[in-house]
Amino acid sequence: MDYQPTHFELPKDDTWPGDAKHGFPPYLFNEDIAVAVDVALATRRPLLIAGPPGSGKSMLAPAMAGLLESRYLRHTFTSRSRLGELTSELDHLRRLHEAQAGVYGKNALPPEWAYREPGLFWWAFDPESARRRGATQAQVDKLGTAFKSPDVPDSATSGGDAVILLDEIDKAEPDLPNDLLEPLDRLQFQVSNGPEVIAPPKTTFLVIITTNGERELPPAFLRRCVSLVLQHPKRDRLVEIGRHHFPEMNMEILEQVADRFGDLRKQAHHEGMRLPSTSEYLDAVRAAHHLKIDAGDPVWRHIETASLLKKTDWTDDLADEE
Amino acid sequence: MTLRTKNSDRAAGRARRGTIGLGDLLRSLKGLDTRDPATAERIARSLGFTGIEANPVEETQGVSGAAPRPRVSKKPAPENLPHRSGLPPVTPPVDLPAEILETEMTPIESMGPPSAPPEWLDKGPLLGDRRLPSVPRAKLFPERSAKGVLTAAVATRRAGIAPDIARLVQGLVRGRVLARFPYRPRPSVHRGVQLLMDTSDAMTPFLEDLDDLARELVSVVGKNATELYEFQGDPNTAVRWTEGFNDVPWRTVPGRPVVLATDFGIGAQAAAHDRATPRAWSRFERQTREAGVPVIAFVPYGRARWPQALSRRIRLVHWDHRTRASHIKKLFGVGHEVGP
Repeated sequence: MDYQPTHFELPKDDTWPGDAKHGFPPYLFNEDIAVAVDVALATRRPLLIAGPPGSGKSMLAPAMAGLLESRYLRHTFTSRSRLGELTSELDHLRRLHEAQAGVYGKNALPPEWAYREPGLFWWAFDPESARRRGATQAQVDKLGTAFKSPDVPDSATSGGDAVILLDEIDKAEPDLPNDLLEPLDRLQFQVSNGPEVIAPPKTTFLVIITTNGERELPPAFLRRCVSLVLQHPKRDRLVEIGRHHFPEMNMEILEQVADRFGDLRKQAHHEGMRLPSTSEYLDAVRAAHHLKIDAGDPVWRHIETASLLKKTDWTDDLADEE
Repeated sequence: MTLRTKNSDRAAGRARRGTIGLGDLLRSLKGLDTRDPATAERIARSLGFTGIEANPVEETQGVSGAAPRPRVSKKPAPENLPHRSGLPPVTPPVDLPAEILETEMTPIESMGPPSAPPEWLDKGPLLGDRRLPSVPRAKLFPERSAKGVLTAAVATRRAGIAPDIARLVQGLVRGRVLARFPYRPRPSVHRGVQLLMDTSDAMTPFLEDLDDLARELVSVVGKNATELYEFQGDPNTAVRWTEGFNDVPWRTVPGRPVVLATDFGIGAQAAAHDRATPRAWSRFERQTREAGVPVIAFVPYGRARWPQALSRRIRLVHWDHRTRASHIKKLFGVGHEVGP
């Protein structure tokens, strides 16, 4: 790769070696990825990554956290996600139960702030404040044993630079991306009836947001993000990805599976079916390696069916049987 | 509560920056390695200056015609039916000769030899290459209001963030132990939607509107949560196509709203072969009601032409550019009430 990033250093062979301890696989950079990350760091904007499943959208975040030697925080959106999960929510149910059960006897219930649940942004921007649920140390001390410490995420035990992955934003309700504009733009947010949480000015936050294109995102949101659209890797890059995932693997198998994989993608495209992705290529390679067979083996057809084609519509097969 | 000022924002170094602009591009081009012009292009692209879609939404299968698929029809299709993918092109007018042609009408007494074809017949196509400028089509739900209308139409109720004080007090007063904290409902599209599109002959003028509707619904609800079905007159016979082009009959999914796009046969001739009987509509209404599935029907004709009996049992909405989300919210409140 000719491009030399300004805000981070590319590893040898343009490949982040992975982190076996935390289960992160190696990551291969290309020029598009390196430039987009560098632009996001230069402009301090979120990086929105779109692309088909298995194209390496989510895995870029741990790779960048490794390269930048910074904390890695991750949140995966679901249809139930809301902004409060990332900023702060009140645990109404615990408060109600403690009130009903008379946990504190004749003493009054702890104040409302003791029931705040800090979200990912709070842990990223100001972990010290999050640990005290937004109160001062004097308030925490005064509360004594009635103060329950929140569960601290592994990567939020200390402050500093962070890579934040907001995964699959297209799964969330349509309004959520707009709710994120303010905290992502200013790296700060207001806790309801509480403090304003502000990220330290000199701290670097790389926010990576992924989308599968499941639904459209609001234009105002798109206009605030640096964009990277990942394509499905070409055959040679696919083999290279396989080589980094399975360094002990015979190159011949990697290439054979990649060739067969290409044929199956063409076939699936022609038939209007879902196209197999990189992760399925790796599954097929793994299976071929463990079963010690290649694409010419009679058993190979079953690997294709189980790991590459993954048919969900068996109507034709049932009709054939009849 | 902390009072925020522009100065305090600046002091914290977190002033609001708004959308990406030329300043971001200049900062990037100045600060990054741009010796290679291709890299400069990549930088501009990542900042959205090249018009490339940042979130390419997957093509809608089905009615939008992204993928070819066989049309399974149990009835013989009438000839000269306009193709599903769109309306027939507008035919340009025929060029008439500059002068009036002399004609002599004589009674046919004997059939002579056939006359020679006129010279102009061999001089290229009659219609020429001229194309009339196409008239812009006004969408039934304009872009500015479509998302709001559709979100309101398919939203179901879900627990929100704000506590439902009334229910909470009611529970406490009655001495109930609350297993779940009551929250005020908020509208949500998480249950997805089934869109049943009527492609009968009478709906031919609205085929492109069906395409638009399917596309807009997918963008609001999401591709995986939107099931697209087609039917010809009778909604009970609706089918969708799988990846392998096999047709799957429509079945209700508990809690998943159904959107009908149909004219209820209003535009069809009384004896039309693909016009559903009132009994068929009653069966459909009963089936969805028993399944606890909310139904909303978009009808491209005005209220005056709606079938009276059906409009009392199915919630109909005029599929029209004047319809707003607020009109639909008046019908359903914050969303359809469905079971857990």
